[in-house]
Amino acid sequence: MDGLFGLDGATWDIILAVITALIKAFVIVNGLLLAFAYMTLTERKVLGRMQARFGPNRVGPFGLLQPIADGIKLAFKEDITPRQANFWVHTVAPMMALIPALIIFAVIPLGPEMRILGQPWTWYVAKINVGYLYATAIASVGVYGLVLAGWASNSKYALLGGLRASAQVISYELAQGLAAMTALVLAGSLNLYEIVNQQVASGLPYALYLPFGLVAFVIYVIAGVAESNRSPFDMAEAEGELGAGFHTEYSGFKWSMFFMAEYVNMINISALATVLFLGGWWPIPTDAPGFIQGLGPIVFLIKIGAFMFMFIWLRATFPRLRFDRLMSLGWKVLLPIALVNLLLTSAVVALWPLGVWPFAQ
Amino acid sequence: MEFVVFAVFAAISVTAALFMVLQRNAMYSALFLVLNFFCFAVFFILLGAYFLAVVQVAVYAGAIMVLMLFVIMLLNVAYPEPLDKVLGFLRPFGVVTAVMFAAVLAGVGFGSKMGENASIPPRIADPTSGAGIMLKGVGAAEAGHVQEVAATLFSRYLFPFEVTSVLLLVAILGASVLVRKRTEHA
Repeated sequence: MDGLFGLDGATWDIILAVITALIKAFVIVNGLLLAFAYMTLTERKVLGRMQARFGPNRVGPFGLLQPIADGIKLAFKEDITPRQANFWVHTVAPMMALIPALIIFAVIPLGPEMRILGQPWTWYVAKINVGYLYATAIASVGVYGLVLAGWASNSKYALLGGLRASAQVISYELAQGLAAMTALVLAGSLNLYEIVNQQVASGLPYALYLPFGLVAFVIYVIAGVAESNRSPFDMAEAEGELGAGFHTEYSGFKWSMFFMAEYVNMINISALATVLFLGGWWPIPTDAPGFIQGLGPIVFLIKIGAFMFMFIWLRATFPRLRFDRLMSLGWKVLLPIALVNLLLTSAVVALWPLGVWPFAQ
Repeated sequence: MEFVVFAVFAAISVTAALFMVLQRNAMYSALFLVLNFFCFAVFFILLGAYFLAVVQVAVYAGAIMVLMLFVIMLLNVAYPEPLDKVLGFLRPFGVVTAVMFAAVLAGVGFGSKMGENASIPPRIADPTSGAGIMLKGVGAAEAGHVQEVAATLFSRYLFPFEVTSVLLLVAILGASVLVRKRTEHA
């Protein structure tokens, strides 16, 4: 493409890279929202089956058009801002919840780097050397959506719901971070692609680095459920006490943005857990021939799907925790265990050569 | 390209800082400060310090400011007393503090040996560029790496690092002593 429009090859490479990134971002954002829509259907159907009923089955074959009907209904609902509410903050809050949830996925490596038709192809938007920190930093910004929604609504239910939600998210971030640190210490890298690659190369995902890897994995998943404000940790929207929690005063599309943020956050947490502890596209080798490499993203998506099913299963199984129990679980149980676990893992990694796990098999 | 990004975000960050100080509503002040932090993260990225950029967002925007919002919400101090009543006799001291702060800023800004200041590790500061704004080259890129930051923090700046952590510990202990319930006197 040299000389086209008077631009040299290097400039064209940059333009091409930007266009590729834009297309990938477009596909990922729409894919996440589509996954959100069908996740709501899956959740209702699975919950229905678990409670010995059918779930939605009227709109389209097997109820498959239900999410579309729901979406149309939500988009055309009246958007109400309470007169006493702070208009600007009330409007910005749902965006501050949804946008961080959508941009985290940029660093998730869905599959191994490969060549399609001779051209190099990557299954991520960005490969940055602080990938995990980027994900946590952006996730912690999502808390603003909850806090501001609670404050701006000028309602006691919303305020208490927002406070509860954000206190919970901040508390469980610590245990989650320490559990993730275990995987980061094992990999010796913050780059998510590197972390997956290490696990695939050693043939063992970090969740199977017994015993510490498994402990960290369990803590990470529990904290992840709490982080996304899902049942049994959905104190923020305990109907009996708080109405709908921080989004009590929201309706129409602004409400559905909170709804989307919750489900996209679940997908993000599943994807990060897959990267950190389940080895991403393991057992597909990173340097396999092209066709087998192409199975990598499929394996990855199956793992995410398993996590999402677990989220639904938990919701159908457990009753909601009391708020003080929830806090003491986070601070007095998960945090100390995660800390000791991290120290022991670090000791093992420091004493044995890198990449060798003495307790394997 | 870099300069355009820098100029845009510099303008946003200065505006946000001004609005933060000039707002009457404490909630808005906090939000403008968050915007300012994001601009700083962009500056760190321009300097090639990705780690610092991410930490800036995670620690300042993601943790500290959320706690500030908590305090504002819990104490319901979004609309405090008019400043005229609160300041009173403190106003002259405010002027003195402002002058001193301006003097420190001027000293840093016009100081000739920017690259050798203790607050900036020499690997980040490029000796060839005095202003230290558009740093390029190997040193700046490496400074963003986690290993580099960790090595500097745990060797050269170990003592200040530990002293800071003791200071934070003292603050936590002080806070828990203050809020402790004294059952024996109740």
